[in-house]
Amino acid sequence: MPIVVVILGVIIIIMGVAFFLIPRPADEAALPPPVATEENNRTETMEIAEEQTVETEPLPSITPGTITLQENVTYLTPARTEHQLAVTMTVDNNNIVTDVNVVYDETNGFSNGHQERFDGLYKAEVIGKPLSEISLSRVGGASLTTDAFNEAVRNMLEPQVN
Amino acid sequence: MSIVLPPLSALGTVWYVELFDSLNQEKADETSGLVRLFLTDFEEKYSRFKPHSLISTLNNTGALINPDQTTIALLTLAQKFYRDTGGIFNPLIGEHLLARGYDTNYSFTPKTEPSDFPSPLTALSISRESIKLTAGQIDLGGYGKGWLIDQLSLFLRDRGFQYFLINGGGDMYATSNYDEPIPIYLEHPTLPNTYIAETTLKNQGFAASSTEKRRWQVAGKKYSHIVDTTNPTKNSSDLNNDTFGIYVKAPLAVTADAWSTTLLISKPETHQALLTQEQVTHATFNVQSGTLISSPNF
Repeated sequence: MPIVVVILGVIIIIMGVAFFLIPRPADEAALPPPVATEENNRTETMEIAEEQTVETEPLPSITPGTITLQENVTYLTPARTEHQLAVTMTVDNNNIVTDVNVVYDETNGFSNGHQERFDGLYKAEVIGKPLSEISLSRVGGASLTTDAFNEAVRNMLEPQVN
Repeated sequence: MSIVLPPLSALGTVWYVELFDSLNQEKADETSGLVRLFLTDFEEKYSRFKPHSLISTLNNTGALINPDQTTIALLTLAQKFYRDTGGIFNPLIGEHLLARGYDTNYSFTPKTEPSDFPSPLTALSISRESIKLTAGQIDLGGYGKGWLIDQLSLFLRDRGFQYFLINGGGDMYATSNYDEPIPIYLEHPTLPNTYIAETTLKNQGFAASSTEKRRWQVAGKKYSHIVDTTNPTKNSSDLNNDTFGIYVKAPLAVTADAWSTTLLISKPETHQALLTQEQVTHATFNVQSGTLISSPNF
């Protein structure tokens, strides 16, 4: 009988040690809060339009998975209003942009309705591939002109050149 | 695997039809022939560059008697787009294009342009008995290709095709690739053989417009097939100091086509409520700054 008591006591002690040593979900929740970053400062009212800066040249060699490009960009709308953008881009191992963050006009708000419409995120790879790799059936653009139009333009230009 | 039919020339541009349904070469060849006839028939019937087309007849005589339902629907749609865009979209720009020399022979010999744009709501009266034109000249360039793309998609569906993509000079309609979205590529407005972004279409139309394509210069003055209806006296070279490409998606190609030109001329936010209602999304590319801005869900 004493032996049984001793054994039970050892078991209880072991369970108690285990109880205190094995992390519980509550412990994980007690981890320090994330450091505030520009990404984490987004709020419900701060709807940011994602914009991609289109590169037609290969991106420089960079460390993957890090924010490597930070640019201030001026863009014009077709209505010729001018706006400032601060763009940060994250690039992966293959020099593909995987994340883009844009702040308009150095404020948390928006300077015109054109920007206010961009709720949600628009993220896309920046691609600068030549069309020769793509079937022309998949190319979307302003009307491709036929040879007739191009020839007419050439014929018109020739007297001016001469 | 898909089959891309041999490219066809129609409406002054190049057409591609890509079929994802399973079919043999014989069926593909037969379909290619039918598509060619379909496009040719439309062009003969509606191109203002064809002297005996319905549009040329209407422009020259001011009337069409007992018009068919397709013609009624085509011109009624132009009136709808005029209303929807607040007059930015206007099919009665034929006189302006002719004055710029954008005529049947591509003469590019400019003349004095008219100073105003007639309203298609008043100058164009449409009924089952007749269509009458009392001012201006009709040009379907702002939406005719989109219309034809949609008609061709119905044509293919009637022949049992479910999965296909139609590309008419860079404007498109695509169903899907066995319910998967079909990737397409946005052409750079100025750099040859280069694209700037990839997107997808699924049961959607697509159209693009640019200040760069189809332009010419005479005596130091630049002209374009883009007519700025907001300013009758504006020369096309004043359209923008920068070069832009506009890319538009919509449930139908004709809707995308009409809005692609409209958004090159006027600010998108002016039409935002209607664009949202009609599920039209868009992207604008500024060549000089290299930036692409897109609306949600483009």
